[in-house]
Amino acid sequence: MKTLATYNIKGGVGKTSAAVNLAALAAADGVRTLLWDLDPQAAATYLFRIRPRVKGGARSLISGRRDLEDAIKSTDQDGLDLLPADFSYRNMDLQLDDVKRPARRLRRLLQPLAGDYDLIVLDCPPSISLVSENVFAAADLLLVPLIPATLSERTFDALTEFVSQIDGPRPEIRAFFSMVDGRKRLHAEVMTSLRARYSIVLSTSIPAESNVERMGLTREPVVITHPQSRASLAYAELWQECRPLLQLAEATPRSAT
Amino acid sequence: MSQVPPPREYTASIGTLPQAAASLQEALSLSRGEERRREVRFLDTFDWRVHRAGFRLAATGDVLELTALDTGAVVLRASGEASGRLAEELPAQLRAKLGAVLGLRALLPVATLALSDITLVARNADDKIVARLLISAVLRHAQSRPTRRGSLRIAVVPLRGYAKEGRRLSAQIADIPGVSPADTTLFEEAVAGSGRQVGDYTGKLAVDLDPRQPAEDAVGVIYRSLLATMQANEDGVSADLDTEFLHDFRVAVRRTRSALKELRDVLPAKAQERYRREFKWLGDITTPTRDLDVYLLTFPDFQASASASAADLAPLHALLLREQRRTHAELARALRSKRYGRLIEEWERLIDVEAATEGWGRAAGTPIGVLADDRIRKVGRRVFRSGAAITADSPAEGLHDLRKRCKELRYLLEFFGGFYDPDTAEGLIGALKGLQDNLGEFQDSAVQHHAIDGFAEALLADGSAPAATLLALGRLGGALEERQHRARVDFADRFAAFAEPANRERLAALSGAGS
Repeated sequence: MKTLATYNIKGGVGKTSAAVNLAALAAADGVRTLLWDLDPQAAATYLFRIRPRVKGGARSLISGRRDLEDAIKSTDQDGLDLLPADFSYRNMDLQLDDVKRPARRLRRLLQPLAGDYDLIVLDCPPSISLVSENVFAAADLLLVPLIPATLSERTFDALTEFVSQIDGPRPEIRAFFSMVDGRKRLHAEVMTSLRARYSIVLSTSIPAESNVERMGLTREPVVITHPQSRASLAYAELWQECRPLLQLAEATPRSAT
Repeated sequence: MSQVPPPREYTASIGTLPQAAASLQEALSLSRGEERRREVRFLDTFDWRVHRAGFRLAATGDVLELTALDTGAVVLRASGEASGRLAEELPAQLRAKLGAVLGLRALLPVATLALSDITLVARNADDKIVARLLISAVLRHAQSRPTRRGSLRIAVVPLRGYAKEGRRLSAQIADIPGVSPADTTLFEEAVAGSGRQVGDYTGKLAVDLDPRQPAEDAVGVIYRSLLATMQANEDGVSADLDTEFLHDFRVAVRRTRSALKELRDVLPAKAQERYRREFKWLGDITTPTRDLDVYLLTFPDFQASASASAADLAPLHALLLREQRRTHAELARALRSKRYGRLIEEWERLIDVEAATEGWGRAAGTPIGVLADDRIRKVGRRVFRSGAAITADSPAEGLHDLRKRCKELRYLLEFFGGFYDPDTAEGLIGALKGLQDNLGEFQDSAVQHHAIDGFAEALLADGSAPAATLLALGRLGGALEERQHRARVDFADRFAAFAEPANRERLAALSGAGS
C-alpha cells in the first residue's frame, strides 16, 4: 500500500481537484484506492455525493476507538472508496496532540488498511500543523500543486525546508503547476523559472478550465464526466507521471465480473 | 474489506431478463444500466484449496477476480491467465495472494457460466448510489444441461458504508412474489452443473468405521474409498495437470497394497494374491514418472547443492524434462491399457459384490477392531525391534526395510486411529513422522545419487553436455552422498527419540478397540 498526498500551505490551488481526479484515475487503472478527505471543508466528500459525517468525529478515529474501516464509504466508481470529511476535523490537531507519537499517528492508523487498498490518497487542509506533519510522515509521495504566480516559489521553498527537517522516512516531493492560464505571460515565465531551479517539478501542468470548476455542480470527477477535456487529459498525464514514483504493482484492469 | 456485508442471492421467476429488470426498476424506483454478456470461468485446485482458504477465483476474459467468501468483497483484480497454471506461473499479484494456498497444485477450471446481466442501482436523495442489484440469466452451463427457462438470479451487491441500504433493498426484493432466497450460490450451482460439488475432494483418507463391524464390511469401506481416490485422480494423472494427481494416486495404491498385506485373511485367498500382484504392478508403473516429478520439483535444491549456475545444470534440466515426458507418456498408455481397465473394473466388482459369492477369507467375520489391535501391535513392535537392531555398521537394507514397516504402521494408524484415544494415536503418528523423515532422507538421497550418476553417464555418452555440467553433476553427486551420510548419522538420535518410553506406552495403549 502506498500513500499519495496533495498538499499546499495555501488554499485554492487545486489540491482537492488533483486528489479527486488522481484517485479516480488510479481506481480506473485497477488500483484499489481510498481517498481520505482530511479537510473539514469537505469539498472532496461533497464531490462524491457523500455526507460529510463520521460517527464520533475526528476524536474517535484518532484515538483508535473507532476503526477507520467503519467510516469508509464506497463511491459510485468501482475500486474507489472514500473516508469522508467531518466538521470535527478542524480540531484534529488537538486530538493528535493527545496521543503518543502524535506526528506518526495517521501512518499508524492507515496500516490496517494495507490488505484492502493499494493506494491511499490524502486530501489535506491548507496549513502547517500537526495534521500536515502527520501527512508528511504518512505519505510516500507528496504532490504540491503550484499556481504559477510569484509567491509560489516562496511557498515551495518553505515546504521543502519543512519536510527536510522531518525525522524518519520522508516523502518524495513533487510539484506540478495547477490552474495554468496559457494566455498569461507571468504564468509562462514563472513556470520556466521554477522548472529551471527545481528538478522536482513535474512536466504536466493542469490548465484552468471551466469543467474543473463545474465539478461542484456535476458532483463527479472531471475525468469521469469529461474524460476528453484538456484538464482530464492533463490529469491522466499527471497520473502517468505519479504512478512510477509510487512504485505500485503492475497495471490491472478496471473490472471483471 | 470486513465492513462489507456478504452479497445476498435470490432466484426469481418473474419473466425474461429485460422483463424482470423493468418490473424491479419500477417496483423499487431503481435506475438501470446496460445489459451485458459475459462468460465466467471459476478456477480452483482439484482439491478446492482456494475455496477452503475462503476465496473464490473467477476469470472473465483475461481479468481475474479474487473474492472473499465471507464478505463478498473483491480482494484482488488482476489481468492475465490462471487456468492450468501453477503458482509460479501466475500473474505476480495473484501469486503473492495465492502462492502459499496453492502449494504444488495447479488452478483448473471447475465451472464455466455464460451469463447475461443487467445492473440496477438504488440512489439516495443526493443521487449517490447506495445499493446495486445484479440480475443475471444463465445462458448455459459448460458441459451440462441448460438451466430452467425463466429462472433468474438476483444478487444484492454490497457497498461499503451502505449496509443498511443494502439490507433494505434485500428485504424489498424478498417481498416480491416469484422471488425467493437462493439456497445455493451461483458458483455452487455452476460447479454442480459441471458434475462436481464444492469441496468434494481432499487428498486425505476419510473412512468412518465402527470397531465392532465385521472386517469384511470395514475393508469394503477402506478399499472403496481408496479406489474412489484413484479414479478421481486418473484423468489428472493422464493429462499431467499437476504433480499432486500422481502423488495422491500413488498414495491410494500404496495404502491399498498395505491393507491387502496387513488384513490378508479378509478377502478370498485367491483374490488376495492376485490383487497384491496387480496393485504392485500399478504402483511400479507410476514410479519412474513420480521420481522425475520429484527431481524437477527439487531442482532448485540440486542447483544449490551443486553450487552450480542455471546454465551449468541446464542440460540436466532438459534431460529431466524429456525423461519426464517420456515416462509420463508410458504411464498414460498403461492407464489406457486392458490390464489397468480390468484391474479397476474387477477390483471394484470384487469389493462390491463378488467377495461374498467367492467366499470370504477366514478373518472376514472378525470385528475390525480386533484385527486393528492385533496388526498395530505386531507391526508397531516390529518397528521398535528392527529399529533397535540397527547399528552404525548395519547395511542400508536394514534402514530400507524399517522404512517400509514405518509406512505400514502409519497406514494402519490412519485407517484405524479413530478407534483409539485421539491424542495417543496422533502422538504416535507425530513421533513416527520424525523417524520417517529421516529414513526418507536416507533412501531418497541414495536413489537420487544413483539416478544422477545415470543421467551424467547419459549426458556424457551423447556428448551434448559441456565439462561444466559434468563437473556440476559430480558436485551434486557428492552433495547427495553427504546428505545420505548425514541422515545415516542422524538415524541413531532420531530412532532414540522415537523409541522413548512415552511412544512405547502409546503403542501399548492402542488396544481394546475390538472389545
